[in-house]
Amino acid sequence: MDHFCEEIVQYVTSNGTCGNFEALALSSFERQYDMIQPYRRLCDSTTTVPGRVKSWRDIPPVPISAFKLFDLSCSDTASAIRIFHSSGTTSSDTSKHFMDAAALEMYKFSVVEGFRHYFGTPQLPIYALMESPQNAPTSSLSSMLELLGCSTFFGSDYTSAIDFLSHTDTPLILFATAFALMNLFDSSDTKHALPNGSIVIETGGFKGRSRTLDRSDFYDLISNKFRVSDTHVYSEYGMCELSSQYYSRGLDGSFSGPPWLKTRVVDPSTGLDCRNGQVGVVIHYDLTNVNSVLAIQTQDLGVCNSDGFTLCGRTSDAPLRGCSLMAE
Amino acid sequence: MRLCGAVPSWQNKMIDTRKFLTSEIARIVMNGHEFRDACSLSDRINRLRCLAETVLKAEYRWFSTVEKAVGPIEYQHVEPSLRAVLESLTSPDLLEAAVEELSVNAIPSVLTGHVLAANTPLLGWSSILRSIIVGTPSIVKLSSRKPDVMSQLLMRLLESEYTEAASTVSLIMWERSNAPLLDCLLNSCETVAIYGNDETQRTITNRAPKATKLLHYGNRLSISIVDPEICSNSDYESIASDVLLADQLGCLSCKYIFVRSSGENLTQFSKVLSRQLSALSVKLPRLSRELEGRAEIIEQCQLASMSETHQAIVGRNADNAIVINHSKQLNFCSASRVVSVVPFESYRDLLPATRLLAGLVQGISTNAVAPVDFVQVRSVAIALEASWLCKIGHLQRPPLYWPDDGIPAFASLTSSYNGSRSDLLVQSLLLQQPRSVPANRYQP
Repeated sequence: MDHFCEEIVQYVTSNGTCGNFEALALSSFERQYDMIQPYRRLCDSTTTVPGRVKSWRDIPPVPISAFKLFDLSCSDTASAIRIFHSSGTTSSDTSKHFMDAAALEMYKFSVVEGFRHYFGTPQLPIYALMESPQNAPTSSLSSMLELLGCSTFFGSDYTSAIDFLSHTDTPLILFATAFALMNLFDSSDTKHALPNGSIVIETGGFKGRSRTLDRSDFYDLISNKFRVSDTHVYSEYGMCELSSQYYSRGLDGSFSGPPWLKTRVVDPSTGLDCRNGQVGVVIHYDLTNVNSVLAIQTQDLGVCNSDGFTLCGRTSDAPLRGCSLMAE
Repeated sequence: MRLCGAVPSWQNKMIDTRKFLTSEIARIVMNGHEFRDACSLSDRINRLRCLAETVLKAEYRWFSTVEKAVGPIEYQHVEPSLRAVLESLTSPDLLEAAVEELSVNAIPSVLTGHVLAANTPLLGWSSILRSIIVGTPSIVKLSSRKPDVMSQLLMRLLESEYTEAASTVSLIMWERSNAPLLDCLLNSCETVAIYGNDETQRTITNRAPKATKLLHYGNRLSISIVDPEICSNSDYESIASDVLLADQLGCLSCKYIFVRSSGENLTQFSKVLSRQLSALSVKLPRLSRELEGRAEIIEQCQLASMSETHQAIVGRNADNAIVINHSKQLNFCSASRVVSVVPFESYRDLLPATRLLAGLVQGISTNAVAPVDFVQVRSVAIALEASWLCKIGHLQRPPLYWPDDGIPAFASLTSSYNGSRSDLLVQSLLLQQPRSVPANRYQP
């Protein structure tokens, strides 16, 4: 890991107290501009280039679909130790996020420190209704859970999951995609009260696939089936193109991220920030994306507020994506 | 009744039961019989010519009614095409074209169904007027997505100026995905013209009885073939109007501009065109675009900028975006307001440059004037199965009797017509004869 990455690690492990986001972001931009040709062409096309960019807010974001079309990697892609893929149905509609040794190391810090930033030091055991990293080596979500110390990946073995959840008396964290939870509920009519203090973290949403459920109904269902209050139901928002994650609490909670992950909600035509409450396109600035591009413009529509942001849909024709697809 | 003043609220028939639809169909079919018996082909064309001549008179003030009905922005986009349709009704070529297609013994379909799409305002006009010329009654299923004011205006015009023809047409609609009503329509029609995307085409094809003849008008686009060396300022304006009219919606909207260039002057051409698009969009304001649509356009341009083989020139507010495409792949341009500029070195290279669009092209406009160049453009039009070849600036102003997707516009609405589009193509190949391009397609 080079000096630049060490500086970011220091920033991450100090929860943003040691270092300066702006300076690190601008350095990272300069490096990525130099090393990633497609990104350089994008910046050149609008002459938004290092030296002219004075604030992290002005760093040009890549459209997230660029991860499907281009190899966005500072290092030789052959040196990637892991490649995280999005859950597309064919190789041409699958995003690829190349992780070399330094990026993977950074990812570990980001995942663990990001979780700690939101939930404090993990004390509860983690169980996951999803495939293990061994079965899904390209899934960033499975890797993330492994880094968080997940003790059991149930995959799609809902029978074992139900059996375990029905009998355990130790508070736990249950991580699951929305589809996996629905499949779990479908496979058993009975309620499985989780031990007091347990929390459920859902991720991935429904992605508009074979079935959908209103978010409020979905949270009601989780509360009802697991006998947990809706304040113990959380949501995780991440993607294979990011190295960090956002979390929100309860039905109306806003997504918030750690200090090394910042968000803008912009009007796509002007690139200017939307006012609080105004719908725009969500852009992420993830300092721990050291081997790819730190600024990513998503196809998610969102609204900023004083606590973070909430999601409210997708841009037209945006392909369905996300880890929930694995559970369908 | 004169069609001036405010247009009343939306009046098409909302169908909610099979019984209602069946009785409406019975009424139309009966009227259709009487209409055919009473009016010959030349009578029908003469009456439509009179209607068009009346409407085109300034003192009739019919166009101001249209403007009030659709609003000033949409009106400016639709008006040139609307005039082109009406002017083609007054053309002596119309009767000739109809007679050529309709033999003496041609029997109009007992009932023709028209399933219209929401994105092209004048679909109803060409489809209904062709049916009236042929003498087949029309049951017209309008899109449930957007009120079809233009079709409604045609009906009011017919009711006012040509009552007998109006009695053979019924505009209907129903809430989305009503399978029993769709089945009833498909079972009742001898011929159904389907306008819409692949999903609509598939759904109707799967549900239609085998005996029902289907005329497929699927997703298509238009192109321009341009030599920048002979482009005057007004030519740039013409190209811009081929792009901008109808707000870049519908199959006659120019999506690809093939530019004779070895590469050096391509950026210059695109920048001049971009300025012209911006200037024209002041005269022809765009309908406001939702956030999602704007985001899609910007994303397409960003992706193009990242590619080695593309270059993007984005207008203000994500409108009038141009992507210069040096690759052999015609991708990156699915957003409706992005136009792609593609180089070709000589007219002889046109066919390979455009080949990927075979079967997708509706219209071609060109500024090629030298006969030797024009012959090449014409070959491309035939190879791509384009329906409409014209000079630049006329792309979105087609006459009524253009050859219509390779399906004969009039003959396809008769009982004797048995060929589908693909059958016609197979026949052409077997005969080793390319489909001819009628001379009236292009007036250099």
